[in-house]
Amino acid sequence: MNKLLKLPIFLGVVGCLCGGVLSLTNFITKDKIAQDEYERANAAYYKHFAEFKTKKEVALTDELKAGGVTLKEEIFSDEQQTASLGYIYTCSVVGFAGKSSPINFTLSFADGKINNYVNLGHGESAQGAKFLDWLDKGGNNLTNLDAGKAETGSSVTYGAISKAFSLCTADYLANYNK
Amino acid sequence: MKKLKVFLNGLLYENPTLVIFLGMCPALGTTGTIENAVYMSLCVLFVLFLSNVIISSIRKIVPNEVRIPVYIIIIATLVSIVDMLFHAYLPYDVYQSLGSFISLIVVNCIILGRAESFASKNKVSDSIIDALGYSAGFAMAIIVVAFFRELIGTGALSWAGHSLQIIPSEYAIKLFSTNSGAFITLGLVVAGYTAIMEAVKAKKAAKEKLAENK
Repeated sequence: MNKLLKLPIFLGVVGCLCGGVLSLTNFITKDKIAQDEYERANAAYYKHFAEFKTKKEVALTDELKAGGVTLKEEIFSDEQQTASLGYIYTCSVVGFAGKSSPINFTLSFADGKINNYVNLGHGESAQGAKFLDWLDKGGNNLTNLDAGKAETGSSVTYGAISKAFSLCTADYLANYNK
Repeated sequence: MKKLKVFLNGLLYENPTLVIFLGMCPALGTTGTIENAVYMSLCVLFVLFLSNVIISSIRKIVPNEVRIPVYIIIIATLVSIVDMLFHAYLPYDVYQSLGSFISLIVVNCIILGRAESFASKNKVSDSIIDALGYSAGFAMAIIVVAFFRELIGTGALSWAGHSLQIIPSEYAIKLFSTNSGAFITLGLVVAGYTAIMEAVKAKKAAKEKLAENK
């Protein structure tokens, strides 16, 4: 009887002590882990706005939806969402008259002009992606996409991307000038 | 003298990876880069050191019938602590590439083996030396394997995002970066290590024979 009680009690005590140590470690590390995970999840936002803190989704117009824009967000540098930094449009477009692979990217605007372009991934071949590489390098400050038409693969990707660029720019400026 | 013997036992004569082939899972899975191998070695050092210290300290009060569950609970706790600390403070890429191998330390035979066969029978100071010897032996083996795999497989050695190209990348043999390459490299390192140890033994024996004849 003595042994019957002693063994489970001993195991219980060891388990409780280990649980306590684990709780303490979790208490010490949880904030750092949560902060890192938040930053990782929002890494793309920091590429557009280094001071990014919070974001607010904005309703899309039918025209934007039809042009491949999947998300429009206003970006703020504070928790209260009073200090606006600009807007980010997330796009997923398909080149070659809808027969190619999707090209995913985000485009941001601030102070009445294009702020940055971030490539989120595409299914183009190395040759087909030359125009996208040109954009990644900040091709012509992203203001004149026609200058990249000479790049290989632009015939496949240029049309869809420039259409999305134009739509986003028009939408941003229409609201900016209000 | 006894302490040095205990240390050298883990480091050389009973090297866990190269001689008694324990803990082969991380030895194969985390040796793609030197950086991963170093962090895995630190993980094993932390867990083995503390598990040996704790188990040796409580060896007289642990009932024999429940000693294995107690060891497992202690080791699992230490592994979970390492996992949380690595998640919080290690570069995320490194943490991700170590992946499940950190959790798998719970079932690493080196840790449980040393707990059962050494720490539970010896005093704390000897258990510390034993943990250091075995950790050093494990670290030495997997870092050597990782060095050859990374160098031959990619032609470069990298650390924290910085890379030093030693062999032009077109001469790199990609096979060594794959799982098959891990087996091949480990086999070659074991063969080389065994040859060196045999040569040392033979030399020592010849010396002793010469001394006897004199």
